[in-house]
Amino acid sequence: MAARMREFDWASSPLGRPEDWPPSLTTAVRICLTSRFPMIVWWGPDLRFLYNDAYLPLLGTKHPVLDKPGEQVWGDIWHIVGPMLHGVLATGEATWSEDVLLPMNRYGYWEETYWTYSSSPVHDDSGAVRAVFTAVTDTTERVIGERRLAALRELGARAGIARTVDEACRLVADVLGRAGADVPYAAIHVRRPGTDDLVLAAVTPGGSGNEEGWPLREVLADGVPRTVSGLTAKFGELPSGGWSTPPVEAVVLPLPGDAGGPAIGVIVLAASAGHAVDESYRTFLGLVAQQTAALVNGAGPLGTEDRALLALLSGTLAHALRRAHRDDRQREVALALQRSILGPARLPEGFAVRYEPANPPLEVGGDWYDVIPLDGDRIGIVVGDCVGRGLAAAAVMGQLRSACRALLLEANSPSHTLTALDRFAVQVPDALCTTVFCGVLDPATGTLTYSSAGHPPATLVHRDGTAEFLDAGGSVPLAVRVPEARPEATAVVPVGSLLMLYTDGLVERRHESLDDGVDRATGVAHDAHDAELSDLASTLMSSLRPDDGYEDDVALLLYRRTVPPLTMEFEAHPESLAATRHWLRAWLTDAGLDEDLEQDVLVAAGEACANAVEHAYPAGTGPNAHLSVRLTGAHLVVTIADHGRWKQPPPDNHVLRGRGMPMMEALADAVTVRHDTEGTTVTLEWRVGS
Amino acid sequence: MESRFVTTALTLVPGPGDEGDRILTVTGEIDMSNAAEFGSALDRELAAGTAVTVDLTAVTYLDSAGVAVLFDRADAHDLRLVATRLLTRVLQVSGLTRVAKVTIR
Repeated sequence: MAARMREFDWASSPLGRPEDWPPSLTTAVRICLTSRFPMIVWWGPDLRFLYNDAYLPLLGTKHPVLDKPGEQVWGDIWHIVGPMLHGVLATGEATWSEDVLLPMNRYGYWEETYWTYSSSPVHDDSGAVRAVFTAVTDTTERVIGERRLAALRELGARAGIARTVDEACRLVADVLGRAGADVPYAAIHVRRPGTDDLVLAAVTPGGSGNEEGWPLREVLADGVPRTVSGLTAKFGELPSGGWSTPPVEAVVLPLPGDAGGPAIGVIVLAASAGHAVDESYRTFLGLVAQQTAALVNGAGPLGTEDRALLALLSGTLAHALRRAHRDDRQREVALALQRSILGPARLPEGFAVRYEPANPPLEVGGDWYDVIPLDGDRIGIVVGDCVGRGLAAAAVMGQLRSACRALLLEANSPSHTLTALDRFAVQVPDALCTTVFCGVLDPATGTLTYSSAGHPPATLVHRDGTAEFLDAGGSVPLAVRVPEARPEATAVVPVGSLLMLYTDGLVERRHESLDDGVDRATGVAHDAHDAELSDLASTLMSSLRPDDGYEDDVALLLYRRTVPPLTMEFEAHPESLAATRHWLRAWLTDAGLDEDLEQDVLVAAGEACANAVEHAYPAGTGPNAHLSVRLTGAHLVVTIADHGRWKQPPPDNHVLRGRGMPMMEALADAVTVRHDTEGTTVTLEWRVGS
Repeated sequence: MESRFVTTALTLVPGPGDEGDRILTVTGEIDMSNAAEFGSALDRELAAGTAVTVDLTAVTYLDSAGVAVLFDRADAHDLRLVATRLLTRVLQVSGLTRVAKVTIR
C-alpha cells in the first residue's frame, strides 16, 4: 500500500500533495502503513478512505478504493458505520464496538461478517478533529465458530431423551430450527427397517421435506455425501434462516448406523447463503449429521443410568475438540476444552498427579486420571489408558473419563463401576481394550477397594522399600467380552506408604521387559521417599523419562497417607511428663509405627522432655516447653524445645550429663542438641522401616 | 505430690519369692516424677539382705531415671530383673544387662 500511496495522484484529491498534509495526518498514515493490524484513516468531512496492507483481505474485491469517500467504499454498511464515524468527527470521542454484525457484499454475495473495531479522533494543530482512525479485527470466524459449537452442544444435550426414532428426529429438527443462521433448512429421512425405502421423519419449521429432486437414495446406497447447488431453481426458495437471501447450496449426508451397521437414513442440511461452504462449514454439517445419527441410534426405552451415560456419550466435547483444534484461531477454546476433559485441577490432601501427552503441543492424550470426592469422606481414584495417542485417543478418553466419574458417583463400588463402563465402552468407537484402574479409598483407615480392567497393577511402596502389587482385583480390558461382573479386592494403605498408579507409558521401554521398568519405578519411589509428594512425582517423571522423551502418553497418580504433625506445649514439670507421653504414644500408634520403634521414640523423646523439665526444675513454675513430631515419608523427626537459659548443660543436669544423652544416642538414628539464648532444642530423627 | 494432669501411674507390690528371696512387682511407668518412690520401695526390699527380683513385666515405660535407680543398687546387691521384650532395648542400651541378671519373658 505504501507504494500505491506514493504513486497516487494526490494533486487531484481534496487532500492535496502529501508534503502539504498537516503533521497529524502524516503521523496517522505512517502508523497505519507500518502496522500489521488492519487499520483505516478516514480523512476530512467526507471521510476519505486510506488503508494498509493488512486491511486488503477485508475489502475483498472492493480494492482499490484509495482516497474514495467512505460512503462509496462501504455503502452496504454505511447506515451502521457512517453515523458512528460522523459522531467521532463531531464529538471527538472515541468509540469501541465488539462483534458487530456487518452484512457485506465483497465477493458477489451477501456475507455474514462480524467485526470488533475502535475509532478515535485525529486532531490537527489547532485541536480540531480532522479525521478518524480505526483499528479493526474480523471476528467472523470466532463468532460463528462459537455459535456452531453451541448448536452441537445443544444437540448433544438431547441425548437419552427420545424414546423413539421419530421423537429423536423431531428433537433434532427442533434444535436445528433454532440454529437457522447455520442450518436454515434440514430434513431427516429415515430408512424403513429392512428396506431401502426412505420416510420423512422430521423437517425444520417452514420447510416442506420434499423428497423430489434430492439425491437421497444415492447417498443411502453408497454412503457418500452429495452437495446440491442451485437450490432455488430446483426447489423454490427454501427458508433463509433469518438471512437476507435464501440458501443456494445444501449437503445430503448419510446417517451412519450403530457400530458400523448400514446407514439408518439421510439428512439434508442447507447451508446459509451468508457463508462460503468451506472446509470448516462442511465439518460442522458433518458433525450435525453424526450427532443426529447418535441421537437416532440411541433412541429407545432407557433406564436412568443409560440416560446419564448417553448424555455423556453424546461426545459433544470430543467433537467440539476436534472441530476447535482444526482452527488455530480457536486454540484457546481447544485448550480450555482439553483441560476440562483431563481431570480435576484441585486434588484432596495427600494426592499428586503428573500428566504428559506423547504428542505436544496437544495437552491431552489417551491416558487419564481422576480423583473424585465420594460421600462418607471416601475418595474415588481412577487411572485409565485408551488405545492409541493424539486427538483420536483423547476424544475416546474424554468420554470414558466422564462416564467413569458419573458411574463411580452413582454406583460407588469399583467393580460395579467397571462393569457398567464395559457396557458403555461397547458403544464408543475405539474404546475397545482401554485399561482402567478404579479404586475407592477411605483415607481414615487406608482401606482401598479396587478393581482393574487390564491395567498395570497399583503399587504400594512401603516404608521399608518393599513393593506390594495390588493385582488381586484384576480382569480383562474394557469391552473385550460380554459384560459380566468384575472382581474386586481390598488392600490397606498404611500411613507412610506410597500408593503409585500409572499408565504403562511411564515404565515401558523398547528392548526391555516390563518388570524391569516397574522395578525401576519402585526403586526411584523408594529413594525419593522422604520428599514432599509433589517433588516425588516430579522426580519419578524425570528419572524415568528416556533420553528422547516418553514414547507414549504418561499419567501418574500418587497418594501417601499421612498423619498430621503433632505439636504441643507442656509445662516444664515432672508431673506433666506422663500426659505428654500419652499424646505422643497415641500419635505414634496412628502413624502405624511398629511397637519396638514406638518404644524407642517414646523413651528417647521422654529423655529430651525430662531434660527440658530439668532446666526449669526445681523452681517448678518454669516456662512451657514445646514438643513436635512429624513424619514425612520414612523420615520421623521429634523436636523438644525449652526456654531454659543455660548456654551449656549445668553440672547437675542428669540427662545431658548422665545416662539420658547416651540413651537418646543409642535409641535414635540421629540426635542434635542446640543451645542458644532462647533455650535448648533437642532434635531426634529416625529413618522408619529401614 | 499433687497431680496436675495424668500423673505417672505406678504401683509397687513387695512379696516373698520361692527361694527365700524377695520380689518387687512393679506396674505402670517409671520416669523422673516417681523414680525416687521406686528407689525407696526397692531399698526396703534390699534391706532384708537377700536377693531381690524386680518384676518389670507390667511396666510399659522405663527411662534413664528408672535405669539410674537400678544401676545405683546393682553393684552392692544381688539384683535380678524380669521384663518383657518391650523394655529389652532400654535395658541393653543402658548397660543394665551387664550389671544385673535380666530375664526377658
